[in-house]
Amino acid sequence: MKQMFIRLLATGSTFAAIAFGVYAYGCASDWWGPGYNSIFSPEITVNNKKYEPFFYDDYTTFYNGYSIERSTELFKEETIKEWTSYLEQYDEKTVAYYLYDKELTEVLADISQSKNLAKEWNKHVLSTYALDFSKQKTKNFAAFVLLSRGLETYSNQTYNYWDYNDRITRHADQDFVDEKERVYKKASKRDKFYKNRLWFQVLRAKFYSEDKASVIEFFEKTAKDQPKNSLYYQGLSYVAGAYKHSGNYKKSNALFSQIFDEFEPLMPAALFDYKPLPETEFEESVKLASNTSTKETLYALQGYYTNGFEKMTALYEINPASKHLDFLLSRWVNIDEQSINIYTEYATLDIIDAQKAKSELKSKVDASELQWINRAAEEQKVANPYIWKAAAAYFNSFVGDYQTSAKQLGEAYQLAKNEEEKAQVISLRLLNNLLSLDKIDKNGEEKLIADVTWLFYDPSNTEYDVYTSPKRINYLQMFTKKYLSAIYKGEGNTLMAELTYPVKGFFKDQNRSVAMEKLLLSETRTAWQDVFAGIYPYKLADIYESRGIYLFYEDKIEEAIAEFERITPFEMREYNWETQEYETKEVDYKTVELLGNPFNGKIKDCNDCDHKDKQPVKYSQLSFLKKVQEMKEKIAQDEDVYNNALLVGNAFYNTSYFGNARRFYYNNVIGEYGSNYIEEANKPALHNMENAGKYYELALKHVQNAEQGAKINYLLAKVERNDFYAIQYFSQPYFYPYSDNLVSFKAWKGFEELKQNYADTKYYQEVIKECGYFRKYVGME
Amino acid sequence: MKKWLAILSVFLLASCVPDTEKTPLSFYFWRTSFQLSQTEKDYLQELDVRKLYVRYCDVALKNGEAIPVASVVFNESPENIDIVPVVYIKNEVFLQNSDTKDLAAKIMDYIGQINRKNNIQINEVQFDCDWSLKSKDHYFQFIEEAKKLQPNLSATIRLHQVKYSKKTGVPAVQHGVLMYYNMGTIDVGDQNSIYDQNIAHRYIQSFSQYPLPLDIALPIFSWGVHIRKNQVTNLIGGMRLKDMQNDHFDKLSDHKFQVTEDFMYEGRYLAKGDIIKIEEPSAKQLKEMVADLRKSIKNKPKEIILYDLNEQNLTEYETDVYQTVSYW
Repeated sequence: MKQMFIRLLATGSTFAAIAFGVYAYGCASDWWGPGYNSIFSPEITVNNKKYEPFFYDDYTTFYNGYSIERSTELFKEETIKEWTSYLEQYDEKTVAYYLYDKELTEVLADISQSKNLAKEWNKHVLSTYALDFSKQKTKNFAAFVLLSRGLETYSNQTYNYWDYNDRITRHADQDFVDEKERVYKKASKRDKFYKNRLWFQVLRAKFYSEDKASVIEFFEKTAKDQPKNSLYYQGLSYVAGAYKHSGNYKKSNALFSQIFDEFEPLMPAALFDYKPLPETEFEESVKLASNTSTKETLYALQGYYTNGFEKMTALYEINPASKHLDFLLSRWVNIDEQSINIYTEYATLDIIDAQKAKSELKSKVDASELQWINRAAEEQKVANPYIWKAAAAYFNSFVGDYQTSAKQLGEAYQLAKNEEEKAQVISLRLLNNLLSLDKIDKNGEEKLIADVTWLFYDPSNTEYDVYTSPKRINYLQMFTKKYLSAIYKGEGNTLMAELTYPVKGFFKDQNRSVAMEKLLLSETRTAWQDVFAGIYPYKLADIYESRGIYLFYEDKIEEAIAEFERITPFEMREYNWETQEYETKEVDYKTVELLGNPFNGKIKDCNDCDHKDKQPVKYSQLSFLKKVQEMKEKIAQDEDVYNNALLVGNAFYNTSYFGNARRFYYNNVIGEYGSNYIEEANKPALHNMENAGKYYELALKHVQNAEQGAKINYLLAKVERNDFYAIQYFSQPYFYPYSDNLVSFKAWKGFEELKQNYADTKYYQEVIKECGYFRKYVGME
Repeated sequence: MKKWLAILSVFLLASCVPDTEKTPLSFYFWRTSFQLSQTEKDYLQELDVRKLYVRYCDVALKNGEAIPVASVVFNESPENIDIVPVVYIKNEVFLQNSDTKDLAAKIMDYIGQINRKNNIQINEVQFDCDWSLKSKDHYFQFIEEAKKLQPNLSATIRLHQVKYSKKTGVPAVQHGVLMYYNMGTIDVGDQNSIYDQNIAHRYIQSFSQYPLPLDIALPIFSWGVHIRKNQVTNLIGGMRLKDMQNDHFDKLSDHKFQVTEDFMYEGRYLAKGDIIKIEEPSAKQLKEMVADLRKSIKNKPKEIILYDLNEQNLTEYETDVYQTVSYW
């Protein structure tokens, strides 16, 4: 629907262009692909490729963006094959050359004027494709090529879009039509193939003539002598098109329905050309249907565009075994579940109350419609009972009739014809059992564990390609986790609530962190807990690391070291995009190195430069912490306090957002992986300059000469600047650093000190050289 | 949906109110076949309309080539009225590296063909293009080329192009026509995408700074936003509040209506429970637009153009509305 809407605006009222642009943008950002909150796969349940374009798609007219191929393209291969087999003596390449080679058009135009066609022909065409004019069939072919490629005066001109008159009189001339009809009539009845080809040429010419309607009469008179091949149905499309053109939609719909019903290649085109009619007119169109099967199809197509459910029930009353019912049912399910299923947001537990969620699901189902679906699923009159049982069961779960659903799913499982159909039943069964539980006790776990294990661990669910697989399990995976988490939360079981669906901030509470650690370490976990521990995204290593990081920022270095030392290597499964396979590799956080020397304290903050610098010692998080601890011990013993305090200050500076060792705080639990944007919850820790400032101040108390004094004062100016940036700018939700009135520096206290008391130091000169802000401050720029 | 409109505080301009005088009124004609109904002719006479801006064609890309699309067909010759051809050029045309000289020649020639065929004399051509930063250079180059063939050019100007004129540039034409509509997003909310005074006020301050003399185009068109299951599925052109006064619709609020039963509305299927949001500028809003514009625009417009000429649109408003909008 949306695509049709866009097309409408694109070609229609162009003054709406602004609105169109905005709308298209909105659509694009909402694009998730079919089934982002669907569990019911039409591919699997309908299990009929023919109907695939007509499955429900929330974005495009046809499912997965199918488009209607032009009939020339659609039947090209077939046409070449048929002519090749008719002619007997040429290969497909030769036939294709004469029928479709674009460069031949001009050549043929020249030939067509000549008196002796056979003689001139081979002089002009490519010699490899020379024809043998001794055969009648070859002569026929040559005549057909000239006729069908449209070399008459009318279409011999190349069409010019910028020719206004050309544009408005572009119809096939009557002479041209008459000529085609004459050749057709003259052709021998005995050569059925050739006659049939010419017959189609006449239909085509008539359809594109001024007198479109003439195609109707011609078809009615002559069609009975023609085979019901693809030309026949293409011809019938012209007839339907002529009716549509004249405004006789009842008749055109009846014909398009016949084509949809009888000729697969033109199904999408016929459906696209069908024009939905008001109810009374629709009923009249049904009377115009040439046979029962077409009549049934009319219901299907009308239902596609209008009230699908109503037309599905009507069709069922006429013929419950109709082949068109299944795709209508799949559409009913897919359309409804879009609004019934709860859209789940990433990383938020948006199902707060399981009971409430259930009553919402129930309230969104039309009870009388479901009643009818149940009846049809029971009556054993449909051709594909599997989809009916599955669909009914799905909706019975929504309304809380878990027993009926379970019974229907049991039957569907028996009816399943392949593994995929069975898998669809399992996912619906899981949903049913899940919703049937109000609390998760031993019984509940038993009821779910096999299917939940299948959902999260079966290779067919973990290694499939989301973009090509017809399976729809993503939503179910997310929903299962969130729903269980909501139940646990309701019961006050925060640990299991986190294990089933992790949310940010859980580990800030030390008690919770310890409880999770215990659970992950426990050797007496239940099988149920194992299922979720296995898919829990955080490893013990992540948890220890996160604690170590938090402790470091509290300047509790010893305790931080203790946490880091508990980190052990673990195995991680990762998708390798190059080999396109999952790989298991061993990960050891302890060996990850920081990129630059975390003890640097330079005039200019240039992280990239620090990373490129030669570093005789490379630090890991742990070895870095140990070094800091060593320095702190020296400070405690009054040993070289200036230097040690300076270096510890630098260590805190560099492990903040502003420093060269950001990698120190990258951690899954904390949720920082190197983005320039720091999460709100992490800002207080990562933008904090308190520790750096504290140690610089300590160093300042122990300076022994003016050079040292200059340096510390300058570093303190950097601290003050960072604090200002953090409070003034980074605290805003969206900070854009390129605005005109951005204040990049002020008269920091450190700048003042430097200017007043240290102007004669070497360090001062270095600052002048390297720091533009300072030059500006002292008025040099 | 992200709003593309930036938010600025509004300063009301203090200005003295000059004596009003009548400004000529004209219309955009945006249908594909030119034929006026008797009512339309009566209105044109009554309102003393001397000029029509007729959309001659759109120009769009087909296989990378710029071609005319949906060209107008004159089923009757316009009599006693001046015609200004308008060509809507899709932005995509100028996004690619186009031969602007060739395109200008083609378009001008095409306009000439239509004029000759229908015996129309013109002395102005108007281009309508929602150019963007990326297409700006090509569009402006095109204008330069077109000017060599027809010196009297005008161009439509959208609100954001006035406000951000330093960035978006100003086309070098004789005068612009400010499109005082299409202000918001088409969505399921209560906002009106055609006209919203609050949004208009975000732009109004910039009008006095705009270097090009501006005529004003005002909306008299309407549409229904078709909403199903809280999603916009379609726009139904021409739908008005008066079309909602029947059993097919239940009133939900001033502009929102719920469909009471499945039915076909002019070839479109409306299902029970669907919602239609009518967007149409009211008579009061039209007067309000003019009052706001009078205070903010630098030069008095030479003309007020209403979008668009159509019996349904015309008869929607009382004559005094047309009088009010044409007195400045």
